[in-house]
Amino acid sequence: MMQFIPGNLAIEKNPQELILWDKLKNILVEGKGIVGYRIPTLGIPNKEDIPSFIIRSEKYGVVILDVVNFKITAMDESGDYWTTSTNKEIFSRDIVSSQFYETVVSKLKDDRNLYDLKKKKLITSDIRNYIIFPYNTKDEIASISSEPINEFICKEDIDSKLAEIFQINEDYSIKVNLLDIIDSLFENTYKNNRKNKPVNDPRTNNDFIQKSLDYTFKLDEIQRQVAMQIPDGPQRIRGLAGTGKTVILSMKAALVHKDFPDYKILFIFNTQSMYNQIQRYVIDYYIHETKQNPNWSNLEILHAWGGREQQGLHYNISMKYGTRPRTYAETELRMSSDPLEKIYFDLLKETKGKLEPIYDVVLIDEAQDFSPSLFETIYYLTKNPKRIIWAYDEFQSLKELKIKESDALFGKDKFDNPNLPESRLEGQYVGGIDKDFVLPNSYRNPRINLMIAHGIGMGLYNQNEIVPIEDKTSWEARGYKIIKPEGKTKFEYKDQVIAERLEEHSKNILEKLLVENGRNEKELVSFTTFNSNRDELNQIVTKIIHLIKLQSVPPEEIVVINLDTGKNSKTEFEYLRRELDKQEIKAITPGYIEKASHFKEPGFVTLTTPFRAKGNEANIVFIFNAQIVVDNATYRMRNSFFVAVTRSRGWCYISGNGIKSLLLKQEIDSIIGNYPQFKFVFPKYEDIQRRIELISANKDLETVETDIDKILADPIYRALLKEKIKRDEHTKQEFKRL
Amino acid sequence: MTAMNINEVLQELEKIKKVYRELIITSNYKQIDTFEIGWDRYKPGIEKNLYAKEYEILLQNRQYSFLLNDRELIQFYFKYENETTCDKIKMAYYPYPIKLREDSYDMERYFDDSDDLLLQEYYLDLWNILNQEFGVPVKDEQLEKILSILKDESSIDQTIEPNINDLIVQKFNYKYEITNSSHIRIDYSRDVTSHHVCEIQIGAINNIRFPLDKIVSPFLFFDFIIKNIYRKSYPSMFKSSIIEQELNFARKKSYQITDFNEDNIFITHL
Repeated sequence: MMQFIPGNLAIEKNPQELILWDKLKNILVEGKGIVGYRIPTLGIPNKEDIPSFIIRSEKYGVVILDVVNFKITAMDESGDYWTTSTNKEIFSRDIVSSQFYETVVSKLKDDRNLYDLKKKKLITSDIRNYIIFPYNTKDEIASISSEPINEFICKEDIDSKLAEIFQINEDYSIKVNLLDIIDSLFENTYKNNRKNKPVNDPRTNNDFIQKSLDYTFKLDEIQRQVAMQIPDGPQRIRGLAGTGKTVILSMKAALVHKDFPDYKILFIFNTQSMYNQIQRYVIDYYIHETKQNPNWSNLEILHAWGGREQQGLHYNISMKYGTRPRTYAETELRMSSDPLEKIYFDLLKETKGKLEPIYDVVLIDEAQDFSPSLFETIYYLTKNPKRIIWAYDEFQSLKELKIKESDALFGKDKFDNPNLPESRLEGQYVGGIDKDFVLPNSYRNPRINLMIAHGIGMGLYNQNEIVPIEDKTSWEARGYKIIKPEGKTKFEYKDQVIAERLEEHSKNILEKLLVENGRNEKELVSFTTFNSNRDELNQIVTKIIHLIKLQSVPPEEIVVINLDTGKNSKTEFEYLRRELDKQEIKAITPGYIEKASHFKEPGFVTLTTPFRAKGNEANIVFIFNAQIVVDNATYRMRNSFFVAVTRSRGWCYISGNGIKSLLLKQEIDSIIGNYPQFKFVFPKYEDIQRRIELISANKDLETVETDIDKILADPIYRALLKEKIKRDEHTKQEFKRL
Repeated sequence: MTAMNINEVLQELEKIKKVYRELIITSNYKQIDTFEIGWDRYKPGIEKNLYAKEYEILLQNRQYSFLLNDRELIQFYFKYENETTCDKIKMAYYPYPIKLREDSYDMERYFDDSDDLLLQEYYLDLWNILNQEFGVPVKDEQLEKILSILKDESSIDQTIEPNINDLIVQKFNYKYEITNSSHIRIDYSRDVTSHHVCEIQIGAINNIRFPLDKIVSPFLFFDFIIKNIYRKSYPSMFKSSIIEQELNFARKKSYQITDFNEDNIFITHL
């Protein structure tokens, strides 16, 4: 399949280029290949020095097409400068194109499969170069040009010439493996094979980890397509954790900044520890493309909150509009279930109508963590046509079983219409840019880990706690194929559902390495039950000692997550830390003893909670106190479990203690038994609804739950409760139905 | 009697780790040079006027030899000129800076992306006091509410005069049991002439120093701290025969300082 990468086509809005783009889409249909708009840049910083369309394909070879976006009235004697009908002097597109051609050739020379060193000649057929004049006739060009370097195509010949250029020659093709080499040379992901260490046979956990780290991140087809395009309006990107959302947003930010250095760009995120990562992605890509540093005054990477010590969007706006910057420690915010929503809500109230649009493009990472007031603020801060691009984790919390529609996010206008209706995300922008993009491939989590996380998260094998995704499309967006029921888009009560996680969506390298070396990827997840919490902790210590001392795993690759964050957690962390210390294994407890942003410090095992672990990943993850997940009437612990398991890039050792842990074991065994499928019976919608209400409630359910337990335990309170229910007809009916 | 040599100090630290193992979360002491015992990334003299901030910086940068349960820190720093001649000693204890009246460990559930929440809130309360001092209006909504109630009442009863300063201080007293704890340390400096060579400092106030006639051994210092912070449970913590034996041994390692003058107390800021 041909891939079309529109880059900044939609923002440039050159009418003739748009027309030609559509023509190319109709003509170039055969075989594998990529068509880019001013992509690849091959490290050329100035977009004016890159021809309009660069095509590489197995059927058509390498073709460079440059569209002259002006009517040309004169060319000087040397041919270096051309004059446009508006009397502007431009540098010859003929020369620009030829220089680009030379850069392509020199890139291809880097690989011996493409270049014959003896004959000093490219092995692949010639690269073809054309200049297209959509505003000039043949006669006009003939009267002003002399001795062009490349072939000129004029207005009246465009269609016939394109047909000729892209006529399929049955004898001709570039082999797909050579095409892959060309791709990696163009995208600079090329690694010379000679430099690679010899492949040895991996044995210890650490061998596998190290081998998996050797692979560099290469954009897959889907990621490349979404990263290399800037929509001319709002765009939503959806994908699970580890599908590359942050990389994609970072590349987009760099891409806009490169071509539109005057644009004001904002990149906001929620997890403090992500700052360095985002900055590094942006810098890497930007420097690679332009050989210079980004201009940070036009490209702001900001935490959503911020404070005196770290810049943040809320802090900056407060300073600008003279409102009060808020801090986490305020009692009122501490008591709020969603402090971030509160501060933006107050900010909107205090500044409403006064916020001025200052940003040309806004990128929002971790959008699932943000609530409406923040989106609404962003809406007012963004200039038309509201190029707001938000990346949304499809399933970071059970609250997000249904995608939050943009109607509900960006606020309403004075007629009570949504500022950004969901309908604005339907279809495509010019250049074929999807307004709503789904990333189904997961790089971080092995398939078995992801299925354990999903299966337990949704309680699929627990009849009393199941909260499944309700429709086929939403399952597919998360990388599952619905085998049963056939032909239904929305499931019904008692439907037998079979959903399969396809292997092709799992791009985890460790998983592949294990299978290649004759091991089973199922070994990546284990679940162990213990009689007591102490036994459980001791076993974790023993296992960590084993991993570090015998499997040579570096301590920083190990993250230990406590699902129970109640009042025992402090003692449990201290116990683990002390017991490891006795073995001269050092540990950190970010946010409790060390700084919250210190994660995976070299030489230290990380002990943490699900929420603090968010946004981080590790090759070895321990999860303990997992018994808290089952029989928890608020369902919230299933969400914590999901967050914890999705931190794992490799091995995930889960454990629990007490009788309840046996219930969880049943659920996990069912998932493993049916792997790679889920098989479950669809529950009543009213049950799902009630559970979702509990999950999404902003109230302190934990305290109320304890109170209710007290009532149920006391015979007199119970009697009173029964009387109460008997007298309330509505509640009585509801109980009967249960 | 001579001072302990560097190996004997290391042995004592080893012994501390063994004897008090269940009270130590992280042991971090290390011989960092031929004649120096400290810890990795040792930084001398981090001091802040605000004790809580000083404590936080030390904790987060792992500037300790031992981290105890309840996040208390103990430092042992020894610098020798040669095998036997000791140049500098610092032994210090840093308690957790504040104690709330109510049990607030549940805070973790509310926000998970910041550092020590107790301390952050304490800083905010301090900030409120300072703001008030410099005439900036109160931002604390709780206080504003109380103030407005009082204002309403005072329009009826003229004898009630709302005083925001009193309110803030009262809120502080109500909330914190301890706010002004601080470190205690023993310093020895062989070449010093301006004050006594070995002295005890209490609090971050540099200017109050009490002379000591002895350099106590690290084990004795550690035991002194433990004995006092676990006053109630200490007697049942160890087998008394073992601890007594170790203490006797450690006492012999303490080094008498010549030229002691008990009047040598410095309070230079007066």
